[in-house]
Amino acid sequence: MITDEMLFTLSSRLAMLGWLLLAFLPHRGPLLYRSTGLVIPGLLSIAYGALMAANFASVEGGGYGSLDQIRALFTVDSVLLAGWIHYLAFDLAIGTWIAKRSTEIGLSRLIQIPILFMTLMFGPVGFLIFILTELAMKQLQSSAPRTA
Amino acid sequence: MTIVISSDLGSSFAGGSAEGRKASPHRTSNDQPRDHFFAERVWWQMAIVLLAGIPVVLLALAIDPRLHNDVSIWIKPLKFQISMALHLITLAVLVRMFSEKTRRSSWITALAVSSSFAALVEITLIGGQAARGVGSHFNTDAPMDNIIYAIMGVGSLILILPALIIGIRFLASKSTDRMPSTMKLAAGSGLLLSFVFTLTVAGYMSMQGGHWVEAPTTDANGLPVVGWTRQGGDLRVAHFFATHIMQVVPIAGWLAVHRLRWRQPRATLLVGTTAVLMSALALGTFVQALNGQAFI
Repeated sequence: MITDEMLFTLSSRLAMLGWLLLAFLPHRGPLLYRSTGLVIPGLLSIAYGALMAANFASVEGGGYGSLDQIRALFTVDSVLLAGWIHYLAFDLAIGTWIAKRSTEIGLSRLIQIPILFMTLMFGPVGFLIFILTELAMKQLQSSAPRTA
Repeated sequence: MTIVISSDLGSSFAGGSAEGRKASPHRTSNDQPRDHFFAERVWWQMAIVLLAGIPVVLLALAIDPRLHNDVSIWIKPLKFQISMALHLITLAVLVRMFSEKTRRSSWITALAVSSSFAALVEITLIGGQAARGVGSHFNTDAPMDNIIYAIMGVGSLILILPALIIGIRFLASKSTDRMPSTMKLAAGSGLLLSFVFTLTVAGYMSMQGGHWVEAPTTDANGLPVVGWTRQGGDLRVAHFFATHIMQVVPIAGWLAVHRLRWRQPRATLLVGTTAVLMSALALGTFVQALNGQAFI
């Protein structure tokens, strides 16, 4: 029998492995992007899906319609774990997207790492910082020839 | 002249993506159309979506302790994902023997869309009831369960309707280079027999309120993989053989025509024999179950 504890440990380690590779692997190729952007989030999604399939519909008073319903869902450990794995999966997928795009626009790795760290810790904040950074860089780059 | 049945399965996956809708499909040197038309792509893509859900169900099977009839609640969704995907793929592969005009026709398109949608409804209801921890078929506990079971009944009819119509169309067609008479007979009889026997067995089963006949109402300790009871009659045995006539008979035809390259009447004889044997198997296991006897 696979327990929630086992799934938690496995998922967290898998996600951390992805983040470390993404942040510190000197050269990023398609294999890395496929691993951290598709394979690991994909595996995490299987765990999420199975946990929700096994628990979601049987939580008394659970649902997505109000804070009370969401609280009811998260009182069940397996759903709490599913929610956590949801973070792990989507944050890493977004992190991969950020890493790929920031390399394409020439963002230094030294700047990328703190943005990726924010994405790991506080997903949407890292995402927001990246899209604003990207926006500003594009503005600067397009205005650069004129100022030069 | 070779005709694409299953030798082309690999490219069928790829063909579903981009250029299948060209008015004049690209042809290979063998003069085989490589592209899939809309109806075939709908069937293939719905089948792939059904199969894509399997990893989640397999893990759910491992972590969810809930049982239905003493086996995991997730066994049934798994079986239906696989069998409905196989059903849709079979239709998509068989219609490739028709002319391009027929494959593009609105009636085949309508059958593909409706049967694929029915498959989606079926798996949503079966999976949804499993997630709730209750049965889907034969579940008349609450008004909602009753409604769901009723919708599933209608859905299953829409799902197998293409077998009837396309089966008749095969038998009524003239044989062509793409559809030698043996293959025409194999596809037509396979689909029609499958439809008739499945409707009979499943229809009877739905009126019984369960798949057991003179057997303990448990699915525990059934035959490996399929789960049929060994302690009495199980109507699912006949359902299985009836439903899969539509794969077995065309495969027999394909073997005779394209692999063994048999001449007439040998090839047709093999198809005829297979059709008769499969029908006997479906009927025999039906009678066996009605008598309360286990398959093995």
